[in-house]
Amino acid sequence: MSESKPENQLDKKESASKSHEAEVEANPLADDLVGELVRRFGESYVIKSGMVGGVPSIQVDAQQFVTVHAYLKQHPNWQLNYQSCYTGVDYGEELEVVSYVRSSSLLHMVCLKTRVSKESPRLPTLTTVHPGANWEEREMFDLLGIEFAGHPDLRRIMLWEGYAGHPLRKDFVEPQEESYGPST
Amino acid sequence: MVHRLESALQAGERMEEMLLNVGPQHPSTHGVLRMLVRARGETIVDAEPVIGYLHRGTEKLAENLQYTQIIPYTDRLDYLASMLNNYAFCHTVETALGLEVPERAEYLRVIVMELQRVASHLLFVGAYLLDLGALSPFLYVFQERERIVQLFNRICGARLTYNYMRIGGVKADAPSGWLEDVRDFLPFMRERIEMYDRLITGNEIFLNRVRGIGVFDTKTALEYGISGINLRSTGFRWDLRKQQPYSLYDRFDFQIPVGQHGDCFDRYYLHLLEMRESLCIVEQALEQMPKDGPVIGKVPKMIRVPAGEYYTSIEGARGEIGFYIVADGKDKPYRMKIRKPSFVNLQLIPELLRGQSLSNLIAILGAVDIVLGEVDA
Repeated sequence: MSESKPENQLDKKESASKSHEAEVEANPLADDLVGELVRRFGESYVIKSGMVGGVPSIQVDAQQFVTVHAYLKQHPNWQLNYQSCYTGVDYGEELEVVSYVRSSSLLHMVCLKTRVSKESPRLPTLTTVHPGANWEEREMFDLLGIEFAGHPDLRRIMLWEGYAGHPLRKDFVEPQEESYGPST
Repeated sequence: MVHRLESALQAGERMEEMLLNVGPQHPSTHGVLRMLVRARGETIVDAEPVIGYLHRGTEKLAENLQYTQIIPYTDRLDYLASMLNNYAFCHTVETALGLEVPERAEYLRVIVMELQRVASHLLFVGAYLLDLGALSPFLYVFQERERIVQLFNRICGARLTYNYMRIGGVKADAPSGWLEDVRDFLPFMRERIEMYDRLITGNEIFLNRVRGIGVFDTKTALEYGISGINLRSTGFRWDLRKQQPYSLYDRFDFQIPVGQHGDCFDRYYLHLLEMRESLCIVEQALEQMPKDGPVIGKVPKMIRVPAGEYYTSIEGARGEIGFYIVADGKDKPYRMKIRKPSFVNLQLIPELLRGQSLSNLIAILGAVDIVLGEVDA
């Protein structure tokens, strides 16, 4: 069951983002965002763009995730200096990292995303741009098993050291009653 | 040997570092927070909060629950402000569904949310003073909080975990006489706030403990994603009720008080000021509220959120409470993430404690106002 569910989800995600593509035209903020990044970094930079829940969203390569955050943080037209929500989602083959950043002066919000494969879920840390990302990344490391290269203190935060598995992954199997508790 | 020790003592030197453990079972850690503090003499060199003792995996549990079943779980996050958590979750689902909430329900929500904010801030004032060694205010605040809790008990039948909000409205209309009692409560509460102001704010012992302690600036606060009173204490006017109006907050006339120095005193005082504003909002809501009408909108029996991702946030008692929901068109969320203000705010603690005296640890920790139910989720 856990096998089929994420795939099912993936299909639906594809169709959902397709249906959103029409909306992109209507939203100047989303257009600007894509245009801005394409102008600065080139066509290949933006993997996917669209609207998610009324918020302009773009997906970039995992290695460029930090660069985009840093660029949009200092850019006078964007000033995305405040990270509201930072989390990860398991989509079966891939893990998606989602970051909602907003501007404290211009009041807009943008959703930045990236994807990493489940085999090597590794991407550079965002703590260099948003120090507040520290614990959220530890939580993602703990519950989703995503590794953040360069993170100052990458340890489990909610569960104990030695806990087997990452509960927020869709293929996580709940351990038997007797195996609960610290392993040492 | 003795001489050498003596001279070191006289020079005020203590070279060895101590590792102190505070909590997880300690009354001034406001729940099950553990602090590891490395101190040189009485000066804190480094501190590390250890959390997770109350982790229940709410986000994981939500993946196996229908949308309506998740509401009681949100009560148990920030258990001092359950109404606000209820609303934050329902608001996200309503936004996703594009649901229209009847006006009377929305007014009832605003009234209970602002009363909840008052109750939560009251408890902060009491608990903070208790942390600093003043026992009586803690006993005082429970008198007013009891009035609010009684009101909540009458409207939803629970004293702590209310589960009052529903997707598309509220569970039940106010019982007869309830709104009048809320109106009667307002002058009483205003008077009590004045009393606390007179009793505490000018107290020299208190001022010496909190003035200029735990200072941080707006830039640091924004970089760390700090929200709520902690952010406003630095002088930055940021309240989602104004900046990103949700519910009916654009209909009310209220102020967003801000601090000047970003210290513990500002954070304490803002709680008092915000309580006054909340009472103002409740008063206006009581006046504007329609006399009757439905309290729940037209909601399908089985709530299925259309596929997509949704993030909305509200101004909670401790900062920005947000719910990020990934829906796949089923009756349960595919993934739910809670943006927990206490969790994010707590990160700043090590920065604030470095170089401080050990006696300031409790003062700084208390002023950041965390609730461990929310930190650990």
